[in-house]
Amino acid sequence: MRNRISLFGWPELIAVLLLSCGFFVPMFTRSVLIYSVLNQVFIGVVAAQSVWIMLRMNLLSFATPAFMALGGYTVAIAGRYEITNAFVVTAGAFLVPALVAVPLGALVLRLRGTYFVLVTFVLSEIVQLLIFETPSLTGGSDGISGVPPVTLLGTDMATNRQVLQFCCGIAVLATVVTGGLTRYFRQHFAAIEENEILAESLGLVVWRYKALGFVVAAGIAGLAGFALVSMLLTAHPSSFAAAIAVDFIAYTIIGGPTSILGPLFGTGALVYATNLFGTHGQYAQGLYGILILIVMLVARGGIVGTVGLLFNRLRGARR
Amino acid sequence: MLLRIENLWVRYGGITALSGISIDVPQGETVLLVGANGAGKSSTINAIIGLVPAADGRIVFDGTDLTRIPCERRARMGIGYSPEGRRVFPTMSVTDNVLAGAFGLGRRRQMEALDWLRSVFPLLVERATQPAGQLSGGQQQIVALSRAMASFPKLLLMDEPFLGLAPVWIRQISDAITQLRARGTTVLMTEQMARPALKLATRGYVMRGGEVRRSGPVDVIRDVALADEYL
Amino acid sequence: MAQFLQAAIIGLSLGAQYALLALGFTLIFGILGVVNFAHGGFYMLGGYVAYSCVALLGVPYPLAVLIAVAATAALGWVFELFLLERLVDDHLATLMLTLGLYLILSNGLLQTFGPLAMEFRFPVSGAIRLGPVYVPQENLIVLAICLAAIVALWVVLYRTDLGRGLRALADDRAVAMAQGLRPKLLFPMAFALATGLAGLTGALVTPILALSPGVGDPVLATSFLTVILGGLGSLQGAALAAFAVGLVEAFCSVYFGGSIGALILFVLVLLLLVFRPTGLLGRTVRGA
Repeated sequence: MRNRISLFGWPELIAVLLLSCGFFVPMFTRSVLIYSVLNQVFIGVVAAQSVWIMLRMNLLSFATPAFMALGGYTVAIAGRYEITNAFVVTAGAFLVPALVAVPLGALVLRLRGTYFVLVTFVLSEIVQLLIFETPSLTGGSDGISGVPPVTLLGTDMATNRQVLQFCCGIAVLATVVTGGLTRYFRQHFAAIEENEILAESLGLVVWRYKALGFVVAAGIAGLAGFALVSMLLTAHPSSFAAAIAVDFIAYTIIGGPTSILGPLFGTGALVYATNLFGTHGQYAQGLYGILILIVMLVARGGIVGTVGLLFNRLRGARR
Repeated sequence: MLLRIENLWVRYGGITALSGISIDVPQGETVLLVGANGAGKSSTINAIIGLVPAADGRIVFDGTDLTRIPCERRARMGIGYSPEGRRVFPTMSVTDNVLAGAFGLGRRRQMEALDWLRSVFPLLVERATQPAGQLSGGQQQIVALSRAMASFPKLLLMDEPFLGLAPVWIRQISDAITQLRARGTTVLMTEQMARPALKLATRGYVMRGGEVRRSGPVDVIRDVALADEYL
Repeated sequence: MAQFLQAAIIGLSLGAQYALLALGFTLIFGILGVVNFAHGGFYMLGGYVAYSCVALLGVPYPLAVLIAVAATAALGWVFELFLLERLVDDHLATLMLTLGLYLILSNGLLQTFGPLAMEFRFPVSGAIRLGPVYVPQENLIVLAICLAAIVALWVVLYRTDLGRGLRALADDRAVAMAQGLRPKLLFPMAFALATGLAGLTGALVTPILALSPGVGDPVLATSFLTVILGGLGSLQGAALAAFAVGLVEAFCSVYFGGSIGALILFVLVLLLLVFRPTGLLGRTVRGA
């Protein structure tokens, strides 16, 4: 059942359609709050997809903030040289982190899973320190403010509405790339997730697929960083603190790691809940912690898996 | 009867390793399971000590059915285990390896065991502080045997004690088993090398394809056990 | 010269703290196969428990430290026994559980004590003259206690039945169980031992450095750094790497200033992974 669905790519299609609805939101509301929440969702979804790609292969990545920073700062620095063409900066925000990930991936992915977790965590710390140590390039602890808005077909994406729609576009693009990658290499990724040693002994060059996933995940994270910078018009080190990796992992795990809808629903639900509870997401991390424990102990499929299970059970009961 | 296995089935995933075998180990005897690779010898041992679950059947040790009892409690009921490939604790010293076999028995019992085993195997004194992982295969087998005996078990399980050893070590290990048995320990051992093992055993079971093909006192099954088709 | 000695003593004192943290982290990984993301949380909790005892209950500081150790060890024991134990063979799941605990701990402390740093001072102050240099007394006390704790840990692991059992489980869990060792009894103890060490470090060090809800993150990062450097699962490696990290940090901050020291360490770790993936004293990493 699950195999057939993912063969036709229903979850990917649903994800793209749902995200695309964001384009039409400005027709119904001008609420700054709604725009802000939606922007957070779009950025979060993209970053969570970056985590999700690696999780397909049983690897937990804490490197998302590092690659987000690379993507975001690429755009901010390009802005200094008045490069604002949407297609050029989008490509840059994807390619720069992806290229950096090539040698890193070759290095890290020959190691076992536990090392990967630790090294990606350390990587995010390194990037953070690098930003502080290179003020001439990155503005150091001040960051780069006044990043010019991107221009799409001659128009500046400057108004709230345009920013929202542009972030929405980035999220759709990232979903198409993520969905395409994970669908195309579905069997390879599944084999690695199931039993890496067995996959290797059957002739699958495991680290190559892991490296490919890592590179694309880096690019996707770069897009998230780009969306974040284009929303804030500022690239600041605090936006890319290593600790925010935990948020994206929470989105993915709580949403459900089995389908691309997991990161989407997880991000949607948690960003909404964060804004619902208290100001400035002050309870957010504690809430994520409790939800992670619950998911791990009693609902391993996360939101998507549990809903799917209930749905199937209901249908079974009706028959 | 110290150990009685009745109609034991063991499956790994979809593969059946044991199809309803029955084995009796009488008190004080040394019972040998012979057979080729994949005959089900190790599966039998692993099922008794609890490293693999029994899919069906009963394993009655000293009057108690073991099948629902977790692995670590079986050892404490009086079963010593010397695994296939020896598997000593590689980073721990020889002495610590032996003492780990008597975990939680109290200082006095531990020292008693250590003194006894050291008197039987001078090696345990000579190499006392060396990490067991650095020893030769034969030396490791002595350590593994000592570790299994440190809790003074009623039943000693030995899985392929001669595996990969030179003839001189096979003789030494055989002597060691004879000495350990002097305390009246009952032994159940597996071995592909039937010839030296048959010298130790009192009864034998010839296994093939997860079934018992022949059983009886050693003199009765010797020729069958040495026949090519089972080796 | 004086400056050099000063840096060396600060480095050793830092190294001893890092060693306590990294040894606990390594114990948990080596024995349970679990990456403990909550390690920084236990450090923080140790600091806050000690602070609360001193500031709110008026308990003398040394007793407060002991209470902090007991509290963090007890929480670790309960967490392992009731939550971690259920998924102990799934390395991704245990990692997520400890991460969840960390989030709850740090957010809980934030909610309880607020985001600002606490006014928490070491009860002893002043400096002692050692040859040409003055060394803050509290640093020496912390160094002495940390070293004593390291020796005590060594005694427990290498001279007691409990330690023998723990090392046997780390070496080969299946065979250890077949020898009658009970993971359900020993795993919670190992976890409690390690989290108690983290709590001890927190209670000792936060009065000197700082006590605020953010202090767990850098502790976790340093623990990771140390265990990668020392080789996952190697106790000697972790201790050695901890002192190396402490000394590098101290000398870099004296001679270069800023965060260059941390950056150098991080890059060092990456280079080490290229040329010697198992760390300084690492053995083959256990599955996953």
